[in-house]
Amino acid sequence: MIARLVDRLMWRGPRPGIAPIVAGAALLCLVAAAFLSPWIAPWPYDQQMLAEADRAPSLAHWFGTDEFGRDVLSRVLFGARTSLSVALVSISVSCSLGMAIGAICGYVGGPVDRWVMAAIDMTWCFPEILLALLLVAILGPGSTSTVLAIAIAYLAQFTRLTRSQIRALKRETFVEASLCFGAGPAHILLRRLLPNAVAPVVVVAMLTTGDAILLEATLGFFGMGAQPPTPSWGGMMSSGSELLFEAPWVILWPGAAIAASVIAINLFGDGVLVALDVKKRRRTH
Amino acid sequence: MTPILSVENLGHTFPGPAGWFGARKRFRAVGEVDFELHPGEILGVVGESGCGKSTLARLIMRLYEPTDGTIRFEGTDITHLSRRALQPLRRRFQMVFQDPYSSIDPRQTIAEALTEPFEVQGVGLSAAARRAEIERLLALVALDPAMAGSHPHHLSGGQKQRVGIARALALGPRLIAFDEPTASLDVSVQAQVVELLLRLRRELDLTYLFISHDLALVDYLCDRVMVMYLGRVVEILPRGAPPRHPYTQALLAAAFAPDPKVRRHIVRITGEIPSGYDVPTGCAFAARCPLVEDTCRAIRPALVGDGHHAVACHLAPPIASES
Ligand SMILES: Nc1ncnc2c1ncn2[C@@H]1O[C@H](COP(=O)(O)OP(=O)(O)OP(=O)(O)O)[C@@H](O)[C@H]1O
Ligand SMILES: [Mg+2]
Repeated sequence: MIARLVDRLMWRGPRPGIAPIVAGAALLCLVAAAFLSPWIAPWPYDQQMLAEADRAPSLAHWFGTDEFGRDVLSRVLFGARTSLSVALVSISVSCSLGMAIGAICGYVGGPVDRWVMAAIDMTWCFPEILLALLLVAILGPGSTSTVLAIAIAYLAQFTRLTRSQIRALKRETFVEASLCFGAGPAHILLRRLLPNAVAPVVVVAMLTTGDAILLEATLGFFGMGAQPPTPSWGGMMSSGSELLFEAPWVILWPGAAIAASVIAINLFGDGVLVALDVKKRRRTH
Repeated sequence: MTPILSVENLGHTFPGPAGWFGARKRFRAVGEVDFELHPGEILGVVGESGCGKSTLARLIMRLYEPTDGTIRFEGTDITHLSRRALQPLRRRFQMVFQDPYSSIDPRQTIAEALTEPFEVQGVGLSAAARRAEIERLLALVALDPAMAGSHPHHLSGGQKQRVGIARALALGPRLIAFDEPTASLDVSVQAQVVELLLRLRRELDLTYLFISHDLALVDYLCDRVMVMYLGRVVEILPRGAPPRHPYTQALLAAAFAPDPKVRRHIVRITGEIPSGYDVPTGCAFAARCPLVEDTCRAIRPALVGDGHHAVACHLAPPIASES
C-alpha cells in the first residue's frame, strides 16, 4: 500500500494535486520536531525564569515566555510530543480494537452481532467531546485516561465502518471459493476479508487523528489531559487564555500548532483518499 | 456403477427477514430434489432465474447447510459432515462460479489464487513444486504462464473464468459444478470456454454438473438435462428426448421456436410464479400450466420414470410409450 501510495502521489493514477504533498511535508516536519524536541528545543520546557515572565517574542525566546518565564517555543515543541503521541496512540488503539470487534461482528452476525453493536452504538448517542469528558471524569485526569477516553470516543466509528465492509465482502464470490476449498473462519477473516477492508479504515483513521488532536487539546484546555508540568497544547492555551491581552503569544502559538497540524492531517488524508481511490476501487473490480 | 453423486429429497429453506419477536417465515429455495450423477456424465440444470439452480449447486458443495434430504458423494453421506471431516473430501468436488469478476480476490495474484487451494488444504509445496503446479494449471486452461504474476483486474472476463476453472482443478477433483460459467462472457469467448470444458472432461476424466439458462448450450454439452421450477425438479430428460412436462415443452418452444419439429408443441405460459414463502400444495406449475386440472392443484406430482427420463406431472403420458 505504501508503495502504491507513493506511486500515486507522484505521478500515476488520479492526481490529488500539490496540497497533500505540501501537507505531508509539513506533517513530517511536525513529527520530526516532536520526536527531536529534547535536542532542538532551545530551553528545557520546565525551566522557570520568573524575572523574564510574560516577555514578548525576542531573539532569546522566539515565541516569547509564559507567566512563569518558561520558553513558549520549547513548550510548543515538547507539547507536540504529548499531543501527537496521545492522538496517535489513542487512534491506533481505537482503530485496531474497532477493526477487531467490527470484523468479528460482521463475520459472525446473528445475536452476537446484534448485542455487541447495540452496546457500541450507545456511544454514538453522545458527541465525542461529551463522551471523552465523561470518561475522563470517571477515570481521573492524565495522559492514560485521555488516551482511553479518545479511543473509546471514536470506537463506534471504526467498528461500524469495518463491520459494514466485512458484511459486504463476505458475500463476494471469492469468499465462497475459499470456503469451497475447505477454508476455516481464520483464513477467511485474516486472508480474504480484512486485507480488503483495511484501506478505507486506515484513511478514516488518518482523518480522525486530526479530530483526536483537537479532542486532546480540548481535554487539556479543561485541565483534564496531561497534567503539569508536562506541556500540552491544550493546557498551554488554557493558561494563555488568562493572559489573552497582556501576553497573546502564550495562547497564539499552541493554537497555531493545533490548527496547523489538524489542517495538515486533513489535507494529507484527503490526498490519500483520492490517491488510493478508496470509494471507486470497490466498484471497478 | 455407483453414482459419483446421489441426491435424495434435497431441500433448503432460507430464513426470511429477521424480526426481534416471533418466528420467521422461511423461504423455500429448493425442495425434494432427487437425482444421480454417474461418472463421466454431464448433467445440465436449467430453469428460470430464481428457481434455485445456484442454491442447489451450493448445497451440493456444502456451502449451505441442507435443511432436508441427503447428499452422497461417491457413496459417502456428506449431508451434515463437519467442516473438518469434509476437508479431505473437498479435494474431489469443486465449483466454478457464475461471476468471474468477483470470484478471485482482487488482492491476489493469479499465482496466489491458483495455490490457495493447496494452502487451505495444508499441502506444503516447495518453491519449485509451486511454480510447476502453477504452470501445469495455467497450461491446462490454455493461459500464458507469464500471467501468473498479474492481478485479476488485468485479465479479461474469459481469462478470469479460465483461472477460476484452473483453480477448481488444482486439487484434482472428480466432480465439478459449474454455475453458469459462460453467462457473463460474450459469445465467441463462450464457445472457447465450452470447448475447453469438453477437452478437460476428456483429458481428466471429469464429471460435470452444468447450470445454465442457455438451452442451446445445454443441449450441445449435456448428456441429460434437469429442468427446475420453483426449487423442484419437474423433468430429467436425456439429450434429444422429447419433453413431456408442459413447462419443459414451453421452455423449449421459447428457445427453439423456429424449429418446425417442436413448433407444434408451443404452449404459452402466463401467470405469476408463486412465492417461495408460500409454496402451493399441489403442482408448483399449476398456476401457469395450460393443461391444469383439479388434481394438479390438490396433489403434488412425484418425479416418476426410469433412470434416464423422469417427469413430475399428473398429465404426462407414461414413459413406456416413448420408445
Ligand atoms: N442467501 C439467501 N437468502 C435468502 N434467499 C435467497 C438466498 N440466496 C438465494 N435466495 C433466494 O432463493 C431463490 C433461488 O435462488 P438461486 O440463486 O438459487 O436462483 P438461480 O436459479 O440460481 O437464479 P439465477 O438464474 O438468477 O442465478 C431466489 O428466489 C433467491 O431470491
Ligand atoms: Mg444462479
